[in-house]
Amino acid sequence: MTDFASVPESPEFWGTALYIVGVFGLCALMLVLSWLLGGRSAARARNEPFESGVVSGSPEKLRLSAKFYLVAVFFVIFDVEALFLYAWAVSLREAGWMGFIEAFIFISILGASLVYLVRVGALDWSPQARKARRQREEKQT
Amino acid sequence: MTAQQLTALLPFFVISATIVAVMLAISVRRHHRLTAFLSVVGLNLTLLSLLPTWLAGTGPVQVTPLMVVDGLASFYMALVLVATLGVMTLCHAYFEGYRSDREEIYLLILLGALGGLTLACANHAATLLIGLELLSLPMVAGVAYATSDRRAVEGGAKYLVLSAGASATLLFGLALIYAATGALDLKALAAILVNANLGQPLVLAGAAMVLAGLAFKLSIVPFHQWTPDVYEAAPAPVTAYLATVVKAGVLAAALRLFHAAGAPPSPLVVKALTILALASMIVGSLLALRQDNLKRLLAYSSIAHFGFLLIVLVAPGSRSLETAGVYMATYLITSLGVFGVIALVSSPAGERDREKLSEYQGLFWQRPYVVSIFTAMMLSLAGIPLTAGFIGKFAAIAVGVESDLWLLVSGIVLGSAIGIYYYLRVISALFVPMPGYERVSESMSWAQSAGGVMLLLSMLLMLAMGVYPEPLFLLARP
Repeated sequence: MTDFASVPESPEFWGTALYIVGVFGLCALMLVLSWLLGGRSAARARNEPFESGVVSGSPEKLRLSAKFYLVAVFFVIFDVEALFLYAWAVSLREAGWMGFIEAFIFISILGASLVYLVRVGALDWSPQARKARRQREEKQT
Repeated sequence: MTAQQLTALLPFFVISATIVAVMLAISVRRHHRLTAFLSVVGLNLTLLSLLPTWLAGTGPVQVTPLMVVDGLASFYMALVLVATLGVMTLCHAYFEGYRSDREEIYLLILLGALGGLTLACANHAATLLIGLELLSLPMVAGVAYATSDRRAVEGGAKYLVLSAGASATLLFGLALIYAATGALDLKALAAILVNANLGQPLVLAGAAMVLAGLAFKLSIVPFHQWTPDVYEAAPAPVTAYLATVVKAGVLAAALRLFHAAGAPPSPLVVKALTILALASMIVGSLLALRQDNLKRLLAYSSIAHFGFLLIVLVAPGSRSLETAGVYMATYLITSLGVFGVIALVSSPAGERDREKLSEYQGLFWQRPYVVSIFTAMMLSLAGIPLTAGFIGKFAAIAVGVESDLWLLVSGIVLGSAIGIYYYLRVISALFVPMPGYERVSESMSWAQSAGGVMLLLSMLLMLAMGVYPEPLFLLARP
């Protein structure tokens, strides 16, 4: 367990402390200086965020398709799964053939689930594709 | 890895291969019967793959620090697999008339079974957590399977949030214990529970959180609030799954956590367990009294039952391991029967399952065979002699008497006494003749379906356990 009493004596501690104080100090300094030195004016549109001359829309009224959410979640899931491969990649030689077989199984299961997702139509997010799939399925049954 | 270790892991390989095969089969062609057939074949193969290790009798096989395959693990793996098979046959009968996609439920149930197997073999905090998540996350989707039903989705969301909270509590508890002692191995954790004292605040806080997390999954009072709601919202086969497989898997892990040290846990932990057990017995039984909904009633009855079962965690030893096995097996077969009947008399085509007690009034005069099975199972839940439930309760009381846990024993007696009232209330409702009803058998189709055969078998097994329990005790002996 770390001995907390001895921590302040280590040189890294003072360096880190100085850094933290510096970061907050710099932020405070910039905010205070601009508040003291900057001019102020009030108008109706002053407080709106400015984005390249285009009036920004109101995001609470924008309707996003739930399909995008699904695709984003798939992306996150596969991304996280791919992360595990990095752990294998850095220990490739140490893991040996056993590790290779295990990684192979892992990747093939990932591939199989991708096949499943494509086949059940989780990835066609355009309305036309979904409509076509539904018609195809109705024809089958 | 040696050949022996690979053989010990064979069930995991077989069930994982089954899961991938079922997934690919669905993606090639959606076919309800084919998917069910593949899953059942895979589960049977998994059950067979338990045999080599069990027959070899080489004692515990340690596979990496994470897992151990011993007698306890084999017994609970077998329980999980048999219960999953039962639920599969129910699913097949229940979802046949379901209009939307019905194949994925098998995938979810298989994934849950894999989690159950992992829990049964868990020998490390990491495996414990992975198993727990693998067991409960697929069931979130299972509870909300009928996505067009608002109630089911609500139940699923409830289960998701609450069970994630419970898992986080458990994880935090493990982290606290790890911070204080550096132990992650279940055997080391068990020793820590034995030696816990007031001088170790981190360990005590961690132990309390671990206990809370496990108690949530076993639905012990005061962590039981989700049980009736989720049981009610889930389709009947999924409810059966929650009541059997999930409980069996978590119980196996809890047993390992409390028994691995071979000595009773410290007085502080015993006190906490006793309070939880007594609260579950009394609150579960009392709340069940006023239920008009059969699924909710059974949820409260399961809360009371797991209160009874906690006695085996308080008094470790080979005797209480045996008792836990016997009690779990009898409870499993009985709940499978009860929820099976609910699944068979309901259909997903309707708005909701047949679950109101009033809908069961006089059902005997229309479906005499199913209701006979239902009656026998209810009597078993009540613990009437000659049924399996009696044997389980008897063994639990015997453990309590041997270890001088009189408070818990009197709790079991009181809880059972209240229990008889509400079980008999259901049974009497079944036999009340309804004016205007024709006394004809509604349909015989249940006998042809696999679900009916499964129910009949489980009733026979239940009666066999109750009349001649010797083999069951031998099997459950660690």
